[in-house]
Amino acid sequence: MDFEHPGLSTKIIKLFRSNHIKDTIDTIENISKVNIDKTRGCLIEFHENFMSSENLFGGKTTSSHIIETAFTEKEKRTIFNIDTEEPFGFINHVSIPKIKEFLISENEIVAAFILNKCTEERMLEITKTLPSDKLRLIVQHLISIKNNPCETMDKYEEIIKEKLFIGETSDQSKNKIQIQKASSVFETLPKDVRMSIFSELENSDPETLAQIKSEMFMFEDILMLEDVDMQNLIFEIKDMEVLATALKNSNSDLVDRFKANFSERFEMQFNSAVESTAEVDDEAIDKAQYNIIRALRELEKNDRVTNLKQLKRSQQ
Amino acid sequence: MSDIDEEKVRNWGLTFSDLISTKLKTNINFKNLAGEEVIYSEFITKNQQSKWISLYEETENQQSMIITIDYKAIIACTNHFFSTNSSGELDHAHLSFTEEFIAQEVCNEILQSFTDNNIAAKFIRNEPELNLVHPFHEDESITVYTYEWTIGSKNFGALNLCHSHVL
Repeated sequence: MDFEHPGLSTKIIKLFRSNHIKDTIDTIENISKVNIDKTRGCLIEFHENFMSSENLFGGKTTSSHIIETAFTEKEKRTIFNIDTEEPFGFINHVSIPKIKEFLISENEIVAAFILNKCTEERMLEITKTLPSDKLRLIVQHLISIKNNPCETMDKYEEIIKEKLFIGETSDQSKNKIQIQKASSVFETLPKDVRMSIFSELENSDPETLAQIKSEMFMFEDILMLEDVDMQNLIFEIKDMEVLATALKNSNSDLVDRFKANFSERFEMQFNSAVESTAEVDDEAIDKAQYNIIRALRELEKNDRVTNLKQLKRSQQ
Repeated sequence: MSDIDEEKVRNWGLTFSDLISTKLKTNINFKNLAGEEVIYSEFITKNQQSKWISLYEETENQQSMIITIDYKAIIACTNHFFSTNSSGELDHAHLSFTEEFIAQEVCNEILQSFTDNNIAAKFIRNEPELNLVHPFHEDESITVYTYEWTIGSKNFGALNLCHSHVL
């Protein structure tokens, strides 16, 4: 290691605990002597192929990948002497809605255990959000929580960390994700097909219909865009005939928002395009609006406009 | 003829309870082993309460085996793992995320217990309900070994080991 990066081994040794330093020195002492000519080629090849920072593997540099796969979280913390929180300390960093959802779905003893791992301040913050009947059941177990350090508890800490930071697995969350996906599909459907499905849903499941509508970003919702996003959209549309067709029959607020963000050139093109849209039918309007939403989604995909669903939720 | 007899099940139960007691740091005991031959449809009728199911294949004869554990036992194990006062609610229709974790951890020791007692078996899958596994024909005669699942000295439901009557 010193041969490749002088001084690096000293830096690493400084991070080790005493038993690791002793083990490392013992291993170095006892390792069989191999001629440097033989090891040099291997080291250079290993460094070039795996350890140079440019190499990426599974979204990580290979050196990170090697450390990630070779050691468990606990080993990494112990071997590299990384200061760590108390067991389950990560719970203090989980969002309140997520922890609330988890505690409500858990049995009261487990919920008390999780709550017990929070700081006092955090515990008060969470308990305020819990339904009173659930809270009553949980609180009676707070004083009898067992600290049970063992391998199973370590494993539990790992999976719960993954669930609370990444996983959205409750039925409620799954339904929400399904509705979000469905709403994206509905945006792309021709208006008549969409309206026919909506009219059926209106009768059979009005609650789901309302949820879908609240997730969809429709042509009229363009009004919510910031000026800078409007200008990007106009530039992306380019063809003012498409815009003029899409805006035919739209309310004047939306037309004015577009006009307020036109450059001189686009304004001239738009005004002349409006004259040629006198004869367009509903189908053409629908198609033009659909093309504009597609263009907007493309901009969103490339991070050139605000996230549309977040924007819509913020306005609701 | 069957490779699994009462003596083997008795030893398997002892190994299994020892492994999960260590794993969960909880005094889990299986008591009052009883064996009977029943038609599988009768077993289903008699076991309507919620159960965690672990499905195996006895490798020598390629016959199915199931281990069923009452939810009550899983929930009690969870409660004892996290608390010194485990007097929580035990009659849930579904297991929570943590209870499922404990169920999986418990089942991870079933195969080891078979191996330790020279019963050649292969793990197939775990399921949260009996009606999600179909190891036997409904008119098939099966042997059911039943243990009472106790923690400390308290009973928390049953553990069943079922296999075809003739292996």
